[in-house]
Amino acid sequence: MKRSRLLLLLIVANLIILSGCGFKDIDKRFFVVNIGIDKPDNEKQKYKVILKLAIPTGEVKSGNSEFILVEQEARTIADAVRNIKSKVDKELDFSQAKVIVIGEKMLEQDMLDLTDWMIRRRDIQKIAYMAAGVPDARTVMEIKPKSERLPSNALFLTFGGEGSESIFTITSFLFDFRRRLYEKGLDAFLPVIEPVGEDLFQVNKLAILNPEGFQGFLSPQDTKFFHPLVSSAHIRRTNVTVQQGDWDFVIDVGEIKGSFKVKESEKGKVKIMLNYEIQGIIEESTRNVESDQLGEIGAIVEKEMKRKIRHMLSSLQKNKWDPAGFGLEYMAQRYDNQGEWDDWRERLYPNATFDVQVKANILGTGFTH
Amino acid sequence: MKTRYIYYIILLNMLSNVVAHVPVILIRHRFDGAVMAILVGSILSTGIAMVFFKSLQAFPQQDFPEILKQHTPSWARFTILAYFIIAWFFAGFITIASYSDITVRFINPDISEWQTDLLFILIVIFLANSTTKQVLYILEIILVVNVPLIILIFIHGLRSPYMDWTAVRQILTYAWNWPAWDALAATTYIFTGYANMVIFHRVFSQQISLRWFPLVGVVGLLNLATTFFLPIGYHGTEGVGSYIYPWIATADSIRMELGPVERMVFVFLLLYLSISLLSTLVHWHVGLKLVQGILPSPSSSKNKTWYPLLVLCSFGVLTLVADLLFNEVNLYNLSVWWLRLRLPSEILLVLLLYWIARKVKHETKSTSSAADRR
Amino acid sequence: MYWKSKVLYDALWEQFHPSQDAKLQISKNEYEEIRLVYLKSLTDEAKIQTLILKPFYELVSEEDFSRYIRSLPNTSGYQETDNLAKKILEGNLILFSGLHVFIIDVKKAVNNAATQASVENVIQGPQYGFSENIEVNLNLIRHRYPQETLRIEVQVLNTQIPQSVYLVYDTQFVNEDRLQKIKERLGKIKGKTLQAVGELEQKLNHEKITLFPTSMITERPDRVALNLSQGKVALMVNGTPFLLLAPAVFYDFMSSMEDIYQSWGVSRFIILLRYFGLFISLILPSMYVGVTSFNPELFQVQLALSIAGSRVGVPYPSYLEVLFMLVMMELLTEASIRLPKTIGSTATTVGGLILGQAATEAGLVSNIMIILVAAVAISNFVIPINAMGFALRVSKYFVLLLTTFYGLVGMVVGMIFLTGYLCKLDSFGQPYLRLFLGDNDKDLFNDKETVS
Repeated sequence: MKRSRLLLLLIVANLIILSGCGFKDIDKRFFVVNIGIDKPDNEKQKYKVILKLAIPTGEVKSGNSEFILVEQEARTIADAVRNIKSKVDKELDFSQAKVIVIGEKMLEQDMLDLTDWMIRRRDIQKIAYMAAGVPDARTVMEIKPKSERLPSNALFLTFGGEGSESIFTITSFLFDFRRRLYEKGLDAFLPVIEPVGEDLFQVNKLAILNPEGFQGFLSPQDTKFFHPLVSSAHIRRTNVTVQQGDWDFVIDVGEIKGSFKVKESEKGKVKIMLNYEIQGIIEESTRNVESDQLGEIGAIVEKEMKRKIRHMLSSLQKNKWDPAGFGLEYMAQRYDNQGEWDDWRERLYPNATFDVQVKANILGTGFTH
Repeated sequence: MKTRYIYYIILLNMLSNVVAHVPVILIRHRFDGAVMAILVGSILSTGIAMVFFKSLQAFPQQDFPEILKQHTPSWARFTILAYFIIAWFFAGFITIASYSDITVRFINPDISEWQTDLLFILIVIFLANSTTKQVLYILEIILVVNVPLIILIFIHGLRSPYMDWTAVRQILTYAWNWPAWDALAATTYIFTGYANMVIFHRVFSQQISLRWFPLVGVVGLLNLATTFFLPIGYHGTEGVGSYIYPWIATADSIRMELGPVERMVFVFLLLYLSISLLSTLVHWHVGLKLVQGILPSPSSSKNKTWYPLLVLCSFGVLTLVADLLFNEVNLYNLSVWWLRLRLPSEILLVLLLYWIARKVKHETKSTSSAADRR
Repeated sequence: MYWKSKVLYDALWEQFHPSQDAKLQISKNEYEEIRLVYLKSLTDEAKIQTLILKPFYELVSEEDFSRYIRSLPNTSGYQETDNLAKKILEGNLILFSGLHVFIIDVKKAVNNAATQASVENVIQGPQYGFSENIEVNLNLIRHRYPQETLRIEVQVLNTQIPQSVYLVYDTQFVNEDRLQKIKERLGKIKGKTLQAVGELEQKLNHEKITLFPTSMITERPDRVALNLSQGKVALMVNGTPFLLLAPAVFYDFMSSMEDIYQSWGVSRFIILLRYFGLFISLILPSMYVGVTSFNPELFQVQLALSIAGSRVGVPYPSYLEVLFMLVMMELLTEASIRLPKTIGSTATTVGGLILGQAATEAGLVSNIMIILVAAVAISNFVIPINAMGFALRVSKYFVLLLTTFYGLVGMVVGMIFLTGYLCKLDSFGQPYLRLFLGDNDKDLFNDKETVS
């Protein structure tokens, strides 16, 4: 054991002589909670980088969220960050940068270039939430909801699914966004944050990007019915409003599930079969509803939903958008891998037919008839 | 010793390759033969390992240097052992070098690489300088603490909705390709843990039953499939190729919403730190004992205690120097070359052992029948 | 023969008469005279009165008295090899009666009451520990362990002032190798005196620098009985209410006797809790340093910000903060051990409450630090055997040191180092730490551990 003592001595000596760097206390760091990227005012520059820095307060319980926004324009994001570093007194720490907002005007840019810096840095979470900011990132980042105790916490809760669960909000993580950018037959999307009044924001539509770049927005109504098709969807609560003559009623859907299959029935003809399933109760109705009418209502809801889903699908197909991954699904079935991608994009998808099946299960009428 | 320790050694090798170069090599060949390589490699390796254990049965409680000493001329013994020492040193070196790279890159960017190296090397020297049984005890404890957590991360990753099974299916459509040699070498490396038995066999007195051994092959196959498909599921068929450390990127993409730590990557890296250190420990311990097989310890008791330390320290110094000279790319190329060379050497080792075992069996049979005749 | 006993008596007189408590008494009745030599301080004078003096004056003939003395259960005749002076020092009385010399045991037993167990407490289970008297202790063990294979051996140490050590073991379970090793080490012990088993433990260990205990000190007869049945050797020294059990491995120090008195579920839970406590007390301080100073990304942003918030205004780097509070806590623990019981609680109140409160108010340390230090202290006390608790108290500083320089990597490496160190230790040839002991023990009994 004499030897082990010597080794111990060596380890300790190694520690004392060599080290001491890398030590930076938490209160000497500025936590970047939010990264925004906007179009620069200066033509020569490429990016305007905005960082939201949280100011820690001793009393989190009572205090309100305090933050600083620092912005810098540069040719590269790294340069911008380097410049921002010289403006603040503490070391920037990107490890808690959980929301990355890209301004609307920046969506036109090459997204792979834009996210390159984030993916290369080890400290930026690959599970950061990606979002598009309308009209620009800065406006969105300046919003300070009254309920917020920590900077950007409202956004974390919105996208994390821990707080409010809204069917209009589809979360896209940085790694997921990147994967969709690269993948053939699976398009990327970003949830869009828009300010509402002074201190509120809303997230209810999607910006669709495909390998050619930014394509446009998917409307809130379409987003709602698109959401269940995303494999990573975890929000299952929604509602369906039906208007029939003078009778308006709303179904509170406790669980909505969607799935799809792609079938190549004969060479060159593709049928995309979608299956939706909902379960819910009546939440609001302008007319009395008896329990024995439930089956009938279910049929009405199914019809209404089919119509809306078809609307969503046609707007996807018309624009050749494929955020649900029909193409990838097709290619995953085809063992002859040569030219499958070109086939799909050029001929198969534009001519594909949809077969939508909806199964509505209305469980009750709520507290009254 | 119980036979379970053998499985620990094999399991350790399977796990330790998840972070380093094996997934990168496989993913590089994802469109041309990785899937087939995984299947072929699993079956091939399980077969080789079974032949190996079957042959070892003829030599209870003996290690490889002892077997060679009894049955081969000394020049052959010397050459073979020298080659093996280099191989085992290399196995440890690659693990420690790539993990210190990872540490500097992902955990402690402000601490220089050679300091990290030094810390790892010192701890491995301290641990490797034990008796063979003690090494197995250390192995068992650390594996039992770490493996459940690693499996938890695997399962959590597989069950996550962000795991895209369509991408996995898309890769499976590329299965009918002839396996690439590199990919095959990488796959079989996962199973190489059994080769450490060249030394560890000396503490096992019982016959090792092979009836359930194919299960090891199945576990290995599952492990390989996870290693290969999980990053694909997370980063897509195309995107996965853009990462240098696909597994760390994957671990960083696994989110545990309700766990104490949301970003699993740190837990993952720290767990793999112990796995990597253990792997180096096992390799260098084998290396040390092989050296002792060539050059027996000096007789004086004072030198005896210093001798293993000297051997291990020279391993350490070599590692330190080599790691300073090589960068990430060199290291990758080096380990690819090493993997390519390793597969045939391993087959040769097993064949050699098989040959000796047959010779021994033959001799005992003939002497016993000669005794019968008399 | 008369001159012989005269010589003996004279020699004793020479040796003992300067001593205040030595008694050299001559009694005469009408037939004969007897001489008694003993030390008042070691013997029971009432016993002498009833056993010897009374019959001496009552019995009518010299013959009768001599026969009576011989029949006493604690009398032995004088043999050439006996060292009378030593016998006197052990509490015997030497009786010279005519031609005969008798050695009569009239020891006055002091401290022979079994004391309440105070170090290893249990809720339900035997409440008394050992006494300071070896006879009583042997008696306790024999009572608890009625087994004819129980062997009691005495080995006299080679110290300047000789002390005998009693070895107690069960021949059907004890591992011969270990027993041999213990005897060998006992034979090598040198020094002036030996007062307590703690000292014995130190001297049995051949390492110079030790941290973890490799043999266990206990005060519980039930633990001794249990360990004897597990093949361990108990070492006893007269005058301490503690015994030494050897060999002892890591798990022995993590077990309380209560574990076998409670129901299965409860005891498993408590054992789990203990290991959890061990883990917490080892890594929590390092974790704090690692997370606050190297990798704040480990925790959620909410926690990171609240730690950062509570550290605002703390002028020192985190490792100094931790070190300061830990040392404060150690001082507090030490102080409350040494103080009389009545003042002890005051010290903890003053120290713990007031110091902790004031330190945060003054901005010396952060709030979270106080919680952490308290958690470390409490979880350290969960470890049932003090010796192990102390060892872990020291080890956590080692882990902290590594963490200060290498962050969380240092913490993990430190833990691996500790595990490795424990695995490399052995207690009289028995591996100190390894898993699934039940299995491995069979392995051990059968084949000898070869050093390879």
